[in-house]
Amino acid sequence: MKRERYLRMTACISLAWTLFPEPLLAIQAHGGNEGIVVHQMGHVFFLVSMGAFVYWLREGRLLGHPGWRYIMGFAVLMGLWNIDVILMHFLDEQARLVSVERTTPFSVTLSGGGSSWLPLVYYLGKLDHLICVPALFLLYTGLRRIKASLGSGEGKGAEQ
Amino acid sequence: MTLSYMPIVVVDIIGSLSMIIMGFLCLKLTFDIRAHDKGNAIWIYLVWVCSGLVVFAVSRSTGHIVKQFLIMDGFDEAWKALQPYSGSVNTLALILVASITLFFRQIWKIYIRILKDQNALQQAHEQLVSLNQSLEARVEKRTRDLAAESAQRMVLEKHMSQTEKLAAIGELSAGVAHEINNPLGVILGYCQLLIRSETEESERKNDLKTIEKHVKHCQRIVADLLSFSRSSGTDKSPCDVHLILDDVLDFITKHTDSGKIAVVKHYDSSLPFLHLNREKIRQVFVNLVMNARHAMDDGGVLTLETRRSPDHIHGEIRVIDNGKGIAECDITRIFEPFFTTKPTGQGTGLGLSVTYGIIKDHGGDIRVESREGEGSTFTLSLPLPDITNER
Repeated sequence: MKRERYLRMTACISLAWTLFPEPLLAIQAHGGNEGIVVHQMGHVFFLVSMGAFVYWLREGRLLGHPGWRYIMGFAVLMGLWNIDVILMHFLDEQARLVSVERTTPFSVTLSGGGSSWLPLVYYLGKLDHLICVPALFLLYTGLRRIKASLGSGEGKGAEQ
Repeated sequence: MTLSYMPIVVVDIIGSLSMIIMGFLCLKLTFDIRAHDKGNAIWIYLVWVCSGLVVFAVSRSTGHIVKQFLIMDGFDEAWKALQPYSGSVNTLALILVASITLFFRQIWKIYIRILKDQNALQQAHEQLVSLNQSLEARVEKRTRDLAAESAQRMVLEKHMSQTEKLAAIGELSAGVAHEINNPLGVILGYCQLLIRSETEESERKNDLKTIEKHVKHCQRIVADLLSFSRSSGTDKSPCDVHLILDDVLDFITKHTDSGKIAVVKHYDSSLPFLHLNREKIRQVFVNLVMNARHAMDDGGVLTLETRRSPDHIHGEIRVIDNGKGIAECDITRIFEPFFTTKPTGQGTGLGLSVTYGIIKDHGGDIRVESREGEGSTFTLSLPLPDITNER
């Protein structure tokens, strides 16, 4: 008896929901600027991790080995690169303070809301590979030094 | 502000390619480094970081290169369609590298802990090895001590047994000598009386002289036996053993052919005068030096040494030769009366017995060390006098 009563009640409620629908908003939409925010947060996370990495390298007294000093240089440059990229993303996709117009195939005209230095900062900031490529080169040099010290038996690089 | 677009494009494309190349080069280096010590947590961490960087560099750089080419070729719409995917992958790669980087602290802690444990393990191992070695050394030393004690006990037992045997023989010899000495005296007395009553040319006189000679020989043997058994009294006085030794050497050099034998003397000048019966000790030295000379028929070195015993209770006189030596089976018997290795008729076998008896009579001891073919060493130990009698 009880079971039949429950079944009847469930059927009535289902019918009422079908006949009188309301927006439930159970799943959030991801339109708008969410993509750029996530990407910027990724860069901030990367920046923080590089800062922490530099701090831990200094704390762990690893900088006595030249290999690790180069690796610290990599982390510092990658941190600067993140700052640069965050700024560029902000100018490009969030604040939209600089407008870019391709006047010819080989030139661009930049204007920055009356500011004379902002378009120049934007232009230089766009050359971010001038920071991240040297950063990777420092990492490469550091790893080579560590490998060389292992080969010559001078020190193990990761030994205190 | 109008600026050239080319630097941006060139830096972007070349930079993107460089990122990919450098990323892979770094990854290869980390693999090389890891190959040195595969268990090292820090090297493993570097492999992970560089792997993340490669993913990041490839995703970002590919996006940038594709973007530049699409825009240059006028496919702006295509780039707009591709951009969200490129950007998402790029964001994921960013987070991946950052996340891996943040593991550094934990990895470093683990590495330090492993290093400490390794050191502790190494120290424990070294301690164990050291303990083991010390234990082995202690066992070895104890075994050596036990073996030495056992050998010493055996030597002592052998010596005691020999002493007891010689004492028994001495007792028997003394008894026999006493019993024979008196009849020999009577025989010699009557024999000499009979000789006096005979004429010079008498044949009987010659016979009686032969009897007298042999009786005297028997008396000498009996006297020697008595010396061995220590039954005869000895008058002792302070003597310089070095003088006696030199005297004996002079005597033997003059009366025997000692040309092939070199004499080496190592006298301890601090050795005091010893309380000795000069004549008997002289006889001892004569016996020992003569025996050494016989042992070196083909030449050799005779060494005479004097010294204080390590305990400073005895003076030691050593007669050392590098002659034939004594067979091991004979060593225990050489002090027995009538024991000789010389051919019949060339020795009575009483020399060392008499020596033994004389030394015992002086409260001393005689020891022999010998190896067949290498030589013999006779060591006489004689008690040192009180310090007041020292020279």
